[in-house]
Amino acid sequence: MPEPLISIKDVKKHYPIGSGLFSKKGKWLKAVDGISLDVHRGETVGLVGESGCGKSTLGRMVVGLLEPTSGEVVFEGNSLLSKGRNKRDLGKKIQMVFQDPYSSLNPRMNVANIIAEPLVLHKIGTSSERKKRVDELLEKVGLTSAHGSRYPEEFSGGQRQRIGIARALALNPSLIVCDEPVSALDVSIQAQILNLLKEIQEDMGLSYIFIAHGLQAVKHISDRIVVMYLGKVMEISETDQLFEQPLHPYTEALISAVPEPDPTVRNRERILLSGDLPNPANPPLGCRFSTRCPLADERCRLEEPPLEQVSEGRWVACFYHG
Amino acid sequence: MRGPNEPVLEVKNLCSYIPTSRGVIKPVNNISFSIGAGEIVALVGESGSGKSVTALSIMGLNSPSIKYEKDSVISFKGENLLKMKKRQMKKIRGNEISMIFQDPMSSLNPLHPIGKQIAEPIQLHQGVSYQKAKEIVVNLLAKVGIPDPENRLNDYPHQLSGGMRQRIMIAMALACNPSLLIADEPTTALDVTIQAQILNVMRDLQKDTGISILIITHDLGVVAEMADRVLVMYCGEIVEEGDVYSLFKNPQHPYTKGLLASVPKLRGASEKLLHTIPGAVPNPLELPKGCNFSGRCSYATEKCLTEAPNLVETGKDRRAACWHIVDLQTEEVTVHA
Repeated sequence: MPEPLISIKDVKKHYPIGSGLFSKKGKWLKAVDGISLDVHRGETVGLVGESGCGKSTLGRMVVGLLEPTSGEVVFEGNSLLSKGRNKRDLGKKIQMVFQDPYSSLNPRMNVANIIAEPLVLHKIGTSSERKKRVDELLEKVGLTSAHGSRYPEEFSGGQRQRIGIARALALNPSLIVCDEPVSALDVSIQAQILNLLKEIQEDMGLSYIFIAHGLQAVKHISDRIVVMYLGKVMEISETDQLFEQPLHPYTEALISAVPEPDPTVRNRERILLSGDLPNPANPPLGCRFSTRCPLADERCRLEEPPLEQVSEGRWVACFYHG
Repeated sequence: MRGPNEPVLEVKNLCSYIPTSRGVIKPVNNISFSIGAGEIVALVGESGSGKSVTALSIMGLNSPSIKYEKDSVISFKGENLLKMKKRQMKKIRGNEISMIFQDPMSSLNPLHPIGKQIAEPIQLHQGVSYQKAKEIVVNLLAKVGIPDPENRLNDYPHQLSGGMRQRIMIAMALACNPSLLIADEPTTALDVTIQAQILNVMRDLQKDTGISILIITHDLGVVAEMADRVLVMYCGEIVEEGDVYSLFKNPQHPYTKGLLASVPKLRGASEKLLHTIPGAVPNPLELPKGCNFSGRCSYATEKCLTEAPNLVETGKDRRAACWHIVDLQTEEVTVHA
């Protein structure tokens, strides 16, 4: 196995919760509670799970927008948690594309300036070199250099997401964290953006961490998928295997819950989870999924199943996995 | 499918327009359809296709800046809702036609306990006491699958999860036994396992009460799971209509074909590249001269650019607005990367 591009090691993010300034009762919301994951060069890893599972928090820790409470993120052999110059240099290599293309672009800057901003911040190139680079990037994401002088409000959601991608590409990163990049877009535009991300990856050989709640998009783009639930990993698997034979009951339920665009299978057997997601501030004892799991018994409610390797590249956290 | 023999609602030549300083926008441009008794009709389209404006026109809730052409008719039980006085409309809205919205948090009043909010339409429309209404509410909450309903009555909306709030909205909408429920993206804001629960609740209620449902969504999966009949909208017009099985099996309009082909498949190996519809929805102020879809359509010919096709009958229970339906039927979807 070659050395991974990025290695997330037992990362946790805990937030203190209390009702007021002086009443910290020592309660913690464990948004991400001990996750380890390697991403290799040229690979796309999908993070899926429902709201509150910690997928976005994990993504933000990888790009350095949030500091982990404990654990380590090692990128190309260097810890991302070290301070100073080193961190700034490493930061160039990891970029992010955000969910909402309406709030992630500065409405007062024109598109060329938005895309050139990372170059300016890192003092790269002269102004004419930057201009050339911006034109290249615009073309790469399917826009033209004439779009550079316009402002974000003149663009549709899909075009804005293209601008966001161009900005993320400006510094030639080796990893892009895509946080729900297509969930705010219309169906026909989603496909355009997913294809664009794939083409860029083939072209530049970069890696993605692709965060989404929609299984369809994740399946389409990912090589491997990490299924999360309330801050923990439930299952890690290579994509096609995961869909052919989900091992964790939560994965199975997630796949089964997706409405399929085919009315002839509408009466299929389905696993319908009862109840709501538990409050992340107060997760169940034992296995976190035990309150909704059709297989759960006494043991699951008392003891937390560890994430164990069951075959090459497949990890599951369940006592009774498929 | 029970068929549109006895329509509960009939929309005829609905045409709405907004005069702006840069020209007239037509959010809904001359659409006609009907909803039969006990039927679930899905209205699909992308943002800006006019599906929500259509729903709000039925409810009489559109902003006053939206005007209707004179011959537009929305006929409900023989009366034209568009010609109705505000006071008459109030008697229908929430009573005979009710609606649920995408975001249940912003449709519930945060200052009142949910029991009181659900009881309100019952008291208002049925003239019963709060005590009597409360009994009805407990029944309704049990029906939409809320555990321990008696003790939920005094909860405030913020104490409930998104899925629970949407159940509350459904309970509220059903409070007065309406004959039509309009559901505008009812599950878009919910997690997928919760979405499955809510869709189930809606389906079961439909079976129990025989209510007609107009469901508005952009998700073709939701359409396939729920609908009897499907209306596809594009740029304010209905471009295709059909019963759900034949429409998904054999989409006739290139736009419907494109939409269906651009959804990533959950079964089988992943496609390398997805089918895409090139370009984007045109600006409503600069619509093409001929067919609105012509700029993005791979079948478009000279005629499509100059002359807009009408929605015509193309088979049993099928309508489509395209000049090329005949050629389309004989060939498979051509996938363009």
